[in-house]
Amino acid sequence: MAEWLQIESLSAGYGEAVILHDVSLALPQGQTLALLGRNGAGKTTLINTIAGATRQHAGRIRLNGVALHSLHSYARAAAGVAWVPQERDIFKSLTVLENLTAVARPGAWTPARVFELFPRLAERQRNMGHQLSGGEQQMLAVGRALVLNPKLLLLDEPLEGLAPIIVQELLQAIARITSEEGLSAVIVEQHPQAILAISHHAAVLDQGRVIHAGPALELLNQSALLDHLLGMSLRKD
Amino acid sequence: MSDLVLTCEHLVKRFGGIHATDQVSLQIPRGARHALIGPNGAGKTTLINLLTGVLTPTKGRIHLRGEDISKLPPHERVRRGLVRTFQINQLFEGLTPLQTLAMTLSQQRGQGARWWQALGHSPDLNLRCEQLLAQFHLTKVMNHCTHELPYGKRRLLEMAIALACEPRVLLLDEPAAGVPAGEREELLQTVAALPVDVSVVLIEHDMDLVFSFAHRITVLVQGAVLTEGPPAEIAADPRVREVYLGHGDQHG
Amino acid sequence: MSAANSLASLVKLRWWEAALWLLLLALPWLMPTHALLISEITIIALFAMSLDLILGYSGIVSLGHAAFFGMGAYTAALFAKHLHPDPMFGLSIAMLVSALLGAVCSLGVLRGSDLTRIMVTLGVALILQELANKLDWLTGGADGLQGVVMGPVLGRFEFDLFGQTAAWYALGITLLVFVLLRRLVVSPFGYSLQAIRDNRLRAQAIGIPVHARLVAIYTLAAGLAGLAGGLQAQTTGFASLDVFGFDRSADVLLMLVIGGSGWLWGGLVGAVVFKTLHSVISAWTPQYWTFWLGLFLVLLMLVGRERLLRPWTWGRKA
Repeated sequence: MAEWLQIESLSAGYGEAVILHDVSLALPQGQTLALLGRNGAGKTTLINTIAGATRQHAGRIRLNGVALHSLHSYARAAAGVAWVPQERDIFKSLTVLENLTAVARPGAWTPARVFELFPRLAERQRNMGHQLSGGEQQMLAVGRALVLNPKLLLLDEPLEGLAPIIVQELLQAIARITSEEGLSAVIVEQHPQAILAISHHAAVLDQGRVIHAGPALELLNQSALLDHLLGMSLRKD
Repeated sequence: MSDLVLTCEHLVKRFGGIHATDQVSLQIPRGARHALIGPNGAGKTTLINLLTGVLTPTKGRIHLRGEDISKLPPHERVRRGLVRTFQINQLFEGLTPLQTLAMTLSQQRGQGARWWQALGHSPDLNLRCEQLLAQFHLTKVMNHCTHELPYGKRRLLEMAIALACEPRVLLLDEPAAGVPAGEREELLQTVAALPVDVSVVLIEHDMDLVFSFAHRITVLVQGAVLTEGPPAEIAADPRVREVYLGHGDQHG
Repeated sequence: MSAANSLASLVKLRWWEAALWLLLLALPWLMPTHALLISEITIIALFAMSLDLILGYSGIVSLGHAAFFGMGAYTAALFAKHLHPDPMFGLSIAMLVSALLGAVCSLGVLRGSDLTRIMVTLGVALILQELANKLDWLTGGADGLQGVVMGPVLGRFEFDLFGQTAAWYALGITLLVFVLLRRLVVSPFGYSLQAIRDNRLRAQAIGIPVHARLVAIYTLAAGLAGLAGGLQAQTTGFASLDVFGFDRSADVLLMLVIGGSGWLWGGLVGAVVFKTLHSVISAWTPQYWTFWLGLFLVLLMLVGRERLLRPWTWGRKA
C-alpha cells in the first residue's frame, strides 16, 4: 500500500559525503510527520533531499505516486512540494506582497488568506523583504510556501524566532490545514513537545538513520523515551 | 554615582514616517540579567542597532558607564566593552573558527594592528582560544573553514566571537534561535556563568529561557516600551498576554 | 592538534616556498638570455602582489591600480633624470610618492559598493594618464620619458646590456617585499583585513576600525605598486603613458584571476602563466593572441583552477 509520501532506502548527502543512510518513511495524506533528533542528526538534510537540494546517492521518493527522486528541484515544486528552509531565504528585494504573488498558484491559499493568518504581514505588505524583522521574514517564508497551494509542506524549524502568540496560531493553522485541505507536512523542530502535539507521526533521526518511528502521541506521552532518543550521544562533540 | 552601566534616554529612530523606536528609555545596572521581549517587528533588533552604533538615533542619548557614546562609531563602543551577537549569524566565511577567535582576541587586547607578529604568537592568547573553542564545542572543527560548518556550529561560533571580545555589557539577539532544546540550557548557562559584573541584555522568544534567566523584563511593542518589571509581573500582565504571550499552553 | 600548533602551521614558511624562491633567484644565472623577460615577469608579479593585498585580502575591487604603478614609474624616471641616478634612492622616493597618492585615493574607496569602487579607481587612473599626457614638458607626453640613465645598484652593480643586474635587482626587491608581506598576511592585522573582506558589519562589531585599516592597506598597496612601477622605469630606462593604461590594470587583475587571489603566490603564478602564454602564443600567432587568451580564461572559469591543474579530474562529474 503506497502512502501519500513514500520514502524508500534513501541515502543522500552533500557532494561526496553521505549524511543519510537507508532512510525509509511513509506518510498518509492529510497527516503531519514530526522529524526530531539532535543537531547534526540529518533532519535538515532529509528535508533538503525531499526538496531536491542535495545529492541523492540511492533510494526513492514518491509523492502521490509521482517519482520525485528523478526530478529537478523546480519540477518537484511544480509537483506540489513546498519547502521552507531553515534560512528563510525570502526575496529580499521584493516587497511582502510581491514575494507572495510572484510564486502564487491557483488554489485555496491566496495572499489575502496568508494576511489573515499573519496580520503583521498585512501591515507590512509594501515593505521590502530586507526591511522585515527576523520573525516577520519567517512568517513570510511560511506564507510563501502556502500560496504555492502544495500537496506536501516541508518546514524546517518554522517556529524559530516567532513570538509565543504567533507560534500558537501557526501550530493551530498547520493542524487545521493538514486535516481540512488534505495537505501533508513534514516538520523539523527543536521543541518536540509543541510539534508532537499537532503531529500524527514522529520519526527520530540519529547520525543519518531512523532510530524510532511511530505515532506522535505515543512519543509525546513517553517523555523518558523521548529524552533518551534525543539525548543520545549528546556529548559526542 | 549610580551603578548603571548602560542607559538610553528617550531614544527615537524614524524611518520616513515610521517610528521604529519610539521614546525608549532603558536602565541596565551592573550585573544585570535583563530580557527584551516583544512581538515580531516590534523594534528589538533596531534598538540593539541603535545602542551599538550601527544606526544613528533621530533623537535621544546613550550612555555607557557614564560616558555619552551617542556619537561614537561602532568599533569604539566595542572597545569600551559593549558587545553584541546577531540574530542571523554574521561570521567570517573565509576564516576558520580558530583564526576568527584568535584574531578577535588579538583585536581585543590591542594587538589588532600588529602586522609583524604572527597570529598565535602569544601563548596565553592561544590558551584562551582553546578555552573558548572547548566551551562552545568547536574544538573538533577549529580548522574547518566557517562556510563549511553546519548551522548549529555556526550559531555557537557567533556566540563565541562575542565572548572573545571580553564584554562588559553583552547584547544577545536571539542567541538560542536554531539551537536544539538540549543545548539551549547549556548556552544560557554559559551566559549566566559570566562574571557577575558583566551585564547581559537578552532578546528571546523562548519563554522558558527568558523566565529562568531574567531578573527584569522590558516589553517592546511597535517601537515603544509597553511595560517593564520582574518576570512574574510580566507573565501575569494581561496586556502582554494579549499582544505577545498568548493564552494557551506556552510551549516555551 | 592544539590551537598553538594549528596557528603555527599556517604561519610557517613551507619548504616549497623557500625552494621556489631559490630557483627564481638562480634564474638570471641559469637563463641569461632571458634576463629581460625575467625582470619583466618579476616586476609584474610584484605589481600583482600589491593588487592581491587589496583585492584578495581586503575585498576592494580596483580597475585602476595602474595609477600607482604609473606614478611610481614616472617618479623614479624623473628622479633619476633630474635629481639623482641612484636606483635605491629613486625607488624609495617612487614608493613614497605612490603611497601618498594611495592614502589620498583611499578616501574614495572606503564607502560605496563594489561598482562605485570600480568607477572611482578607473577614474583616478584615467585622470593621471591624461595629466601625464598634458604635462609633456615634464613627462615627454605621448613620446614618453626617455634617456633615463641609472647609476649602479648599491653603488657597485652596473646595469648591464644583458639585463642580468636588472633581473637580480628586481628579484631582490620583490623577494624583500614577499618576505614582508608573508609576515603581514598571517598577522592579526592581516586576518583583520580578511575579516573586513568577509563581513564588514561583524568586523566593526568586534572592534576593528574598518576605515583606518582600509586606508592603511590601500596606502601600502599603492606604495608597492609604485615600487613595481619604479623598478620598471629603472630597468628599462624608459617611462611612457601606458604605465597608467587600463590595459595594465586589467592585465594585472587577470593575473590574479589566473593565479588565484587571497594567497600571496597568486600574483607570481598568474604573472608567470600570463607572460609565458603571451610569449608562446604571440610567437605562434601574434594577431590572435587575445583570442587564445580569452579561450584559456573561459576554460579556466568553467573547469575551475583546482581541477585545471589536475587533468585526471576532468572526466569526473563535479
